[in-house]
Amino acid sequence: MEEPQRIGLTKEANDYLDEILDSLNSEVEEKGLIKFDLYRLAVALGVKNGNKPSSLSNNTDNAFRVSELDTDKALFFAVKATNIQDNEEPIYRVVERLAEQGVRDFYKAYKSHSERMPWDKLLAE
Amino acid sequence: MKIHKLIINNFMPYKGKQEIEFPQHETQNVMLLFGDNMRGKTSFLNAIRWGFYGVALARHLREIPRSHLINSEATDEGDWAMSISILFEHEGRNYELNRSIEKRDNVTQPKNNSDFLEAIGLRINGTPVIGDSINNEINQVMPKEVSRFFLFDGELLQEYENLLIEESDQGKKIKEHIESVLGVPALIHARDELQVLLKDARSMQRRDAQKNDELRKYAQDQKGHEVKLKSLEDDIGELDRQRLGLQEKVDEIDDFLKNTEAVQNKKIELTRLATEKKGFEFNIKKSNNTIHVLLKTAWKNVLESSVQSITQTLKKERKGYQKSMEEASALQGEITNLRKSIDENKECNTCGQEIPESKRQPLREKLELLEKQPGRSVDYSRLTELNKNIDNLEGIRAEGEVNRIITNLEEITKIKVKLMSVENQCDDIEEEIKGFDTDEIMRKREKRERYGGQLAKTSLDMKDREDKKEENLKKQQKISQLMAKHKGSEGTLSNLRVERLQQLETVFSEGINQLRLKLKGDVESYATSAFKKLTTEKTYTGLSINQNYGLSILDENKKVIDERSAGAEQIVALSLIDGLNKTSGTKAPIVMDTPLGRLDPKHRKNILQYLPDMSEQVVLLVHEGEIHAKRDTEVFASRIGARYDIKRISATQSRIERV
Repeated sequence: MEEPQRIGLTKEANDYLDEILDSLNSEVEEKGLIKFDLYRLAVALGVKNGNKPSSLSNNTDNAFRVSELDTDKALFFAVKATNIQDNEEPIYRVVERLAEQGVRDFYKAYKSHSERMPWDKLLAE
Repeated sequence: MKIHKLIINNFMPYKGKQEIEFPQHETQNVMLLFGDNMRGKTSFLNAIRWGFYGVALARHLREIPRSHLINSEATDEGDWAMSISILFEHEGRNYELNRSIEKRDNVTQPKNNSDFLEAIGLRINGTPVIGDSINNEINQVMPKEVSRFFLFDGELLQEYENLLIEESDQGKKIKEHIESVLGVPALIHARDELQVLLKDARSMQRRDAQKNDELRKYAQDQKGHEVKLKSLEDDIGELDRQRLGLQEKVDEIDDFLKNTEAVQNKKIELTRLATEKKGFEFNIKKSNNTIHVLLKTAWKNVLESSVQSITQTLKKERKGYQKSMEEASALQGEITNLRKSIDENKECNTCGQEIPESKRQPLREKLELLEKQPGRSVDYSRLTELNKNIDNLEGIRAEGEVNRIITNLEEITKIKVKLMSVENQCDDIEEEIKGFDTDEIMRKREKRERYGGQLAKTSLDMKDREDKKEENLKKQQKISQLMAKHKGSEGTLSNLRVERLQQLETVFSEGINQLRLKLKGDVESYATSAFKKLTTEKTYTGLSINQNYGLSILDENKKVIDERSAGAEQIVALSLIDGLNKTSGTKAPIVMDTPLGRLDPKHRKNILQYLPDMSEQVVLLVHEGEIHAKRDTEVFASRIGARYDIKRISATQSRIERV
């Protein structure tokens, strides 16, 4: 089981993420959020909610270097500990699938809340 | 003096001819005229004032131009004639006073007062009075100066508070009016005339002294002082002109600001709300920024809480392993010991005798049993893995980002509710003040402040020059005395003239002081008597008058009460008016416009009970917010002789109807 060096999102999810980030960053003067931030959050929320995302139907863009995305391997350890991966499946592929589903969930929530992110609902215990 | 009837024709909101009968009964002497704001209460007061004196006043005693006195609906219909007739009696004689204005034939659209022709006629007991004597006759009945204290605007009663402020310009102005009413100016004019004569006499004395070698030095000094005095008097004159000019500008702006007071207050409120709104928006932005910063690492906090249960499970598993390890170790120890006993110790360690087979057999059986027990071996690699996984998961540490995000979001929600309320208020106010040039109001306020500052400076400069003038006159008097006493100069005409005039000037100055003192005493005594009936506070023992005729309330220890309420101020002002009326000796109807605005029910009741006794005829121009048409009038119902309502016909027309 060899771990991939790069992971990413499908083109569709990537476009969603861009739209959400544009909207969020337009509200503040501070240094804006970057894709990594929401990508990691999407994975973390997937772990929290016990998501078991199915395989991706389309190829991803492999835009993120795993060593940069998960510098202390927190995502890796957390996903591994949940045991949601299929046998022999690399952990980062599960991370990728969790991110894909998480970004899509973000977008759905964003659209159903008049193009605002309902963080209170998404982060609620 | 008692008014019988007022006939108004085209005066301000009163279009066409309207007749108003005044109560004549001795005890039912109160006339009530109810009207909402902007309906024409003050215009009614002005109709009487204009009928008597040809002057209608706006705030700050500013004269209303003739073109504004004629009803605008009438002028739109081409009727440019306006008149007031007052039928009254005084000391047993009947008067019929008619005053009118009409547009000059050669003027199309009148703008200035001179575009109108004014006519005045007076009959006493049916006999016409010739033109030149009419004003004199009116002044015999009610002098124009006195009218201020009979025909007055209750909303301006608070102006009397200025009498308590030393060096207040408005206070000075009111003091002059009061002294006019009380007759002080007659003595002041006489003293001023004497001062002019004294100045001339000193010049003559100085010229005579110039001819004397021994007195020449004095004469030169005196000449210097005279030149300086002239310069100081010129300065005072110029400063006074400046002061009047500035005061006029300030009054004009005050009028404007008073008329737009409600709009200004709304504008001020709007500015306050805008600041509040900015604060809310800033706080929302700040919280949003905080949330953004927290969102960057929130993923770790989510992971941290998500893996906590997994970590617990792993730790539990590890604990199980640790326990198994301990048990396995204990079992192995026991087996080793038994084996040793069976294999090595054939003799007893204590007595050295051989242990019989029968005793060793049970040990062998026990060993067999123990060796068959499970759990003797432990999977150390799993334990290592568990340790590693636990360490990895415990390495996921965060700083409570999620809770902090939720707190900030809740804060934003709360602020947004407040923000929405503020925005709604702003919208409402903007709708209300739509159409008013609020920026112009703000500019005027700034101008008012600037002129106010200049006015204060001019007053200070004037005070400085007046002090110097007084000092100069003292020096002149001293030199004059030295010259008069000089050997050989005694008894000369110029010296005698200076001496006599100086004595006369002193007599008049002293006379003014004594008259003022007496008048103040009278005003204080009458006002105190009125005050005691009007106030609801029984510990107040009376009023104390100051140099400016300002009245202070005294407590039971005769100490001045420093702080007083708006209601108390109004009571004091009314007491002063009563004191002045009684001191002036004039008997005339009192017409009060909106006199009860700032009073609580108890004071209102006291005043309503007292007013009928203030004069033979009392006219109250009130709105229903001041006097409740039924409830409040009960306290003096027996004193009401007539009641009228001002009915609105249109925005520019009102009609007075008897109820």
